[in-house]
Amino acid sequence: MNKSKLNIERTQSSPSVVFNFEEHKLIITGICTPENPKLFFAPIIEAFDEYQKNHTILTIDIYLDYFNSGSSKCLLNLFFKASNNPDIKMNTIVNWIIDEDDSELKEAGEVFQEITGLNFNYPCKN
Amino acid sequence: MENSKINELLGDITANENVGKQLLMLYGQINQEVIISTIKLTERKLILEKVPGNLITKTKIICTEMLQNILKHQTKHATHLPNFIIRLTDEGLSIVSTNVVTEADKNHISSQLDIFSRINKEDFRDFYMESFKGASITTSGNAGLGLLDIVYRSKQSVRYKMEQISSDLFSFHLDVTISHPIVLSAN
Repeated sequence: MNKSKLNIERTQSSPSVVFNFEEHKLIITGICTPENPKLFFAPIIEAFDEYQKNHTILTIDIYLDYFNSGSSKCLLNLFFKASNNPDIKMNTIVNWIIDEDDSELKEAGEVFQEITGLNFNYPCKN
Repeated sequence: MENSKINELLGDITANENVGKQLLMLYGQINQEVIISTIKLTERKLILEKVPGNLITKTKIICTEMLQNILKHQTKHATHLPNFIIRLTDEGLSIVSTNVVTEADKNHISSQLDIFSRINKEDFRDFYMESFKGASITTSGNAGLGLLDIVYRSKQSVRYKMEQISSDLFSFHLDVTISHPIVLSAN
């Protein structure tokens, strides 16, 4: 049985996405510069809406190489969904994974954290 | 590809005393595949130049925004094709793009960039956060945050020029500097 409710394969301009409901885990990894970020993020937002009907605990692992501003806005919308649900907000951890010394990506994560108030960690990949 | 245009472009660049080291130059229509290849090539070149990782990330994000802006808003013109140049200078990285825009786009871009340039450095992060929070994304995937993102990440080191090339078309020249002292290797 495939435990993942959502599985999107990585492309040259979009990340891999694995949303595993049973493991309470959403993982987004890769380059995130799709031409239409809204279209790319639509199934992720949809899966999140479905997930929050029955779950309150979630770990989000995000390890992005780089991203465009449209994707950044879509990620913010996803984080807003989590922060607007008090039960989910309390039990959500965002692991914003960065390469060592990549202050640029860390700063990007801090902007999301500051705006949404979600619990962010900044583990280093190296 | 028109050699005269490339020569003219190189002439403009080398007229500047602080020409630095050319890393990459694109001339011609841009599509998503060109953008992906350009970012990959840029990253490889910056790694070879031993540019710090955080600056490489910043450069990739800014270049993506500049190139995707050209892709979304480029107005095709027979002789004025888009160009995109990255150079390493004593001040850091210089990223320059030129593309043709309509009068409506010219007015919109100029108005946005002029607003951004008037904001104090210490207030810019708050302005960015508020704009980011308030932006909405269209069905075609535009959040209207591209220029703001470029200005924010370059710490407002952005200059631009609009040159009229016909009754309703303008050449939009955007010059972004990522300030950082980088030792240029001697080759």
